[in-house]
Amino acid sequence: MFKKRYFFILFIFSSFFLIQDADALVISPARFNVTIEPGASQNLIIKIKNDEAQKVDLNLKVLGAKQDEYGRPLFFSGIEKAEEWVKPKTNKITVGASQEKNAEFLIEIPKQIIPGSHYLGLAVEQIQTENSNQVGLSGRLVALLTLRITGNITEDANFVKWTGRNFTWNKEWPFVLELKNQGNIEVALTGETAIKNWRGKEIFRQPVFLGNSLLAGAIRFNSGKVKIGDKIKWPGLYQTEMRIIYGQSEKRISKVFYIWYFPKWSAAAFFVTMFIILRRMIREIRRKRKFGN
Amino acid sequence: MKVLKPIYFLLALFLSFYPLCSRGEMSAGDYYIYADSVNTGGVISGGDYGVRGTFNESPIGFTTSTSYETRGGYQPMELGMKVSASSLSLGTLSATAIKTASADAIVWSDAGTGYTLSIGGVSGTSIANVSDGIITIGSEEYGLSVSGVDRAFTNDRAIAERLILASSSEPVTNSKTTLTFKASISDTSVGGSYSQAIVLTVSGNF
Repeated sequence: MFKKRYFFILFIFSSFFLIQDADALVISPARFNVTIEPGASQNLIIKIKNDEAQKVDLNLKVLGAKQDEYGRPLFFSGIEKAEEWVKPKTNKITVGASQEKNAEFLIEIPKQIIPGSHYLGLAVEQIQTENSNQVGLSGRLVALLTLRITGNITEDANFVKWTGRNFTWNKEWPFVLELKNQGNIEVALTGETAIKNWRGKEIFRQPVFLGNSLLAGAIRFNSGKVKIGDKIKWPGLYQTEMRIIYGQSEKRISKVFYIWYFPKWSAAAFFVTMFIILRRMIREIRRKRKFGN
Repeated sequence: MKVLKPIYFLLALFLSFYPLCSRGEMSAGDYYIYADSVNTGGVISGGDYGVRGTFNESPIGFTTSTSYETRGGYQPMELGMKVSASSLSLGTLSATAIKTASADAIVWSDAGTGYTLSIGGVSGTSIANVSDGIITIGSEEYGLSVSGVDRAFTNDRAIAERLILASSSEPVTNSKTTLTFKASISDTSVGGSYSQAIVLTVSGNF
């Protein structure tokens, strides 16, 4: 009994080690959120783990970061004044096979800096040797750094676009959403679409995934479909409202576009009715021509 | 009465430790603190205000001594990448076939917001980049395609800085993206030797 239990415990422990990845470059932590005052300084340490079978030579760099319209990070040199405020203590570092090393970065915020967030990438990049007639590949791992300069913070996100079709007979109503963060700090987003009748009475609502935090100055694009299923049966004019809650202050914004909905049965009924009316009119005209008034 | 004093003391000591250190929510008349942590934080709300976040988080990063290491902070802790090949050769290009070479980029990230893999830098020389979304036999075109569950596109793309190759909005374990480099030449292509250095960048998402 004891042996069985011992074996079981050993099995559980060994399974933790089996999950561990091998043969790679790893950084930790992968993200820093630093709130700092103008004129202050702070050290950051990134731990680099080399699981390769040979040593790696690495460059340490600080890059400016932006978000694309889907919320994915892009890194550039020379786009962020904050790139000047963060420096690696050394530009190059060598990590031996199966070893760990710390890379240090020093943040020094100048005085007289206005409050708000700045976005950077702390890059650990393999130094590549160029080979002729070949495509050389090297890896760069980037830890995200959000630098929040203390002071007055403004959360201000607005609609750039909220549109869709004006007319449809489909049960899926496509929409296009664009949001812009005009504030000076990143904001978390939650959203939902609400479908209302022409009087403004809500029929149903549907959550919309808006992705990760929207950085200051960034635009978020989202295209999707409202699936009405069997919730709307009758033709008519409907309101499609986008409701968004953003930021730590949980501000709410909303926008509406109108859509004429004609289910397929109503479109068919319309065409049949039109056909009957047209046929009657033609008959009436023919009858009048034949027999006069 | 003297006999009861130690009991009161023990009771007070017990009550002072018991619920608050383990609860995820504290509340009073006009506010509540939800999911509070040891050094405060979580969501605080009242009549006219609401704050969500972590305050005074310290220490962040690594604190070490000879006998211990603390990995502090609420940030995602690890990001890793393995590239299966450091160089690829497309061989001698041909006007009658598309030459290909592949490498895998394997990524893991415990960031709750997922990761993004992109081209961080391109240097060197190449033949004309593909511009119509597909590399065709007999046309001078060079580019890459990606495969894997997190791939960012399905056609052939020109190799350019900040081209996003793969992304996920969730934590991933060994997410593999295969990069297939492709090239073709035409009968009128000028002969030469080409080489390129490409930096693959991986990061978490903000």
